[in-house]
Amino acid sequence: MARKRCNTCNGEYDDELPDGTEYYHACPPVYDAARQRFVERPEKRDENVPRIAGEREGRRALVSRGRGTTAL
Amino acid sequence: MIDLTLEKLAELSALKEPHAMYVSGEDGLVITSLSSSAGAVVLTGRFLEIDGRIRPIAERAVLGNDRSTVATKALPLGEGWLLNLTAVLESGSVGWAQAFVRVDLVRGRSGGTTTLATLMQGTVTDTQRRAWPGSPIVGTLEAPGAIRAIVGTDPAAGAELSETVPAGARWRLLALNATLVTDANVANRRPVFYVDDGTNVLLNVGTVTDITASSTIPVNVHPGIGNPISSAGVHDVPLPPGLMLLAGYRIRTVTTLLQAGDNWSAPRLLVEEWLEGI
Repeated sequence: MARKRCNTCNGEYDDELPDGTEYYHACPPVYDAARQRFVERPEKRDENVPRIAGEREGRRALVSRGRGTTAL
Repeated sequence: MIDLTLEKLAELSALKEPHAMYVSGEDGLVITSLSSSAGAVVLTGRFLEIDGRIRPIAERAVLGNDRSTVATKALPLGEGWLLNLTAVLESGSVGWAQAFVRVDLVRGRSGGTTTLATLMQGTVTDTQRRAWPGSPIVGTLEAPGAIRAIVGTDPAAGAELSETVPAGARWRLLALNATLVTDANVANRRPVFYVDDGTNVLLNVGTVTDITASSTIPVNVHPGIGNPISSAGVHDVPLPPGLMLLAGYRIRTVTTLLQAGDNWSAPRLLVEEWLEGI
């Protein structure tokens, strides 16, 4: 288990939960005052796995990597 | 005098097994699995060779562990009679409904294979097995899901909560708890919980009592109450019973007058989770 900080939204999380399942962080949306609605954060990180994916060169495929993470 | 060859003896032996399935040398088994947790499934069984010998089957297949990656493993059989199969997980922490296994009889070794029969399908654990013959063919959504306690992402100060249902999962949201610690700025905060499909808002329910400066307020979101309530410094927000969320759906907050120094804790969610399937 490793604790990480998302470099896009600064959220902190563990990549594995106590029951052994993997945790998939996804950045929350941000409020766009001009449009008066929530929009996706620029460079959003979404660790969810595309439906047909798997590993490429040892790295798990992600929906979007954003600005990466920092190990804590 | 009966001329009893080994092949004839094997055929007579197979007739004594009511479910024996004759397979040609072109047929084989394929183990297909899907899981939310790392582990391996072990397939065991008995195979009656054409010469009358019973050969034990023992094959291990690593599970795909991200709910989306479907792991497959082929197992050639040779010519003879398939007598029985049993699937169970290796010892580990994989609980009920976290691992789904299907065993098919296929023709062809690689490339374009044709499924001839589905022999077993359903959830397995390290103590609960699937067997052919015997077990019903069960889909991932036809049985109770896995009960999971999830500690979500702890947002930075001034940021809202947001949790996304992982790819390949389906959640029934049972409860959510988070604590809002407010800074010293005078403002009346009111958290509203939004459920959306990633884009479109499907539901929003909020608290009806202001959260003022320098407070530490737990907020519970759960079914079983008709209206938002606030008692002894704890806020409760109603949720429709049995609220189902598909992959990519989110539950998040929009907090009126949230200040830069206000800080949501990591949300704790209790969910029933299903694998969407193969």
